[in-house]
Amino acid sequence: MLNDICSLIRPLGLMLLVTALSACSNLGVKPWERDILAKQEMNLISAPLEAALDDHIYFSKEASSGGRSFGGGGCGCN
Amino acid sequence: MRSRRFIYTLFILMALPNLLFAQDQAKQVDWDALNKLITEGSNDTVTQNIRQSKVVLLDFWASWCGPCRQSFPWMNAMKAQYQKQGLSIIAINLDSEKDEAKAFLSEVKADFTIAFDQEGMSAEMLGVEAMPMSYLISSTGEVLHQMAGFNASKKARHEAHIRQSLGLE
Repeated sequence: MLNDICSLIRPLGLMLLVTALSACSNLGVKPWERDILAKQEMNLISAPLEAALDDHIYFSKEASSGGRSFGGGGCGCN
Repeated sequence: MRSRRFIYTLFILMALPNLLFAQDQAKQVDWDALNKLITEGSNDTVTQNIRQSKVVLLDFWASWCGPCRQSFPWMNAMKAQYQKQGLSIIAINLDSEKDEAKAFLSEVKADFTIAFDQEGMSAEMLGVEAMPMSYLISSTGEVLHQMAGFNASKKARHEAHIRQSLGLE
């Protein structure tokens, strides 16, 4: 049992180091970094009228809505 | 059996860095360290503000954030009302482009101290999790309250926190 643990320590330690050093421990965009996401040109459809018509089609024909952009204009506050 | 144990351990290890390096909410603020991360904007200097006041409302904002725009008149009102009791307000701008912040400030009046942090290091230090986010901090650096987000319905609650921090309630 002790041997088992001892033989595991080195590879596991190595793995811990790799995961810690890779960016995996810190994913995501920070709230204050969402400024670029909040910009008009970052919308999938930048024309508001066209987007509204599209939304209406989705809502009336497929009973789905939303999911077009980030809540609260990308500020992370809602 | 052994391989299963190995996989379990692997999962735990993959979660570990997240737990170890997860950002903790700051309980104590080092004013000197914070001061080094920001550049002074307008009105009084940040240090002068901290020295003179009992409680500091430290606000993090950006020009692209709608609720931040709403919070400015409210913060003006709070400063006018509670300045005598020892409240000062420092609003740190986190725009990556300073010109956008300047344009915002030319539209929206701010009676309180403005500072800039384009890198967002000060926000990182305090563990900001929303925009806008405000902290009520004592002059010794103790974080008394955290207030995430801003809208009309939050005004009363935020003000109650301010009154409580100032010892008015």
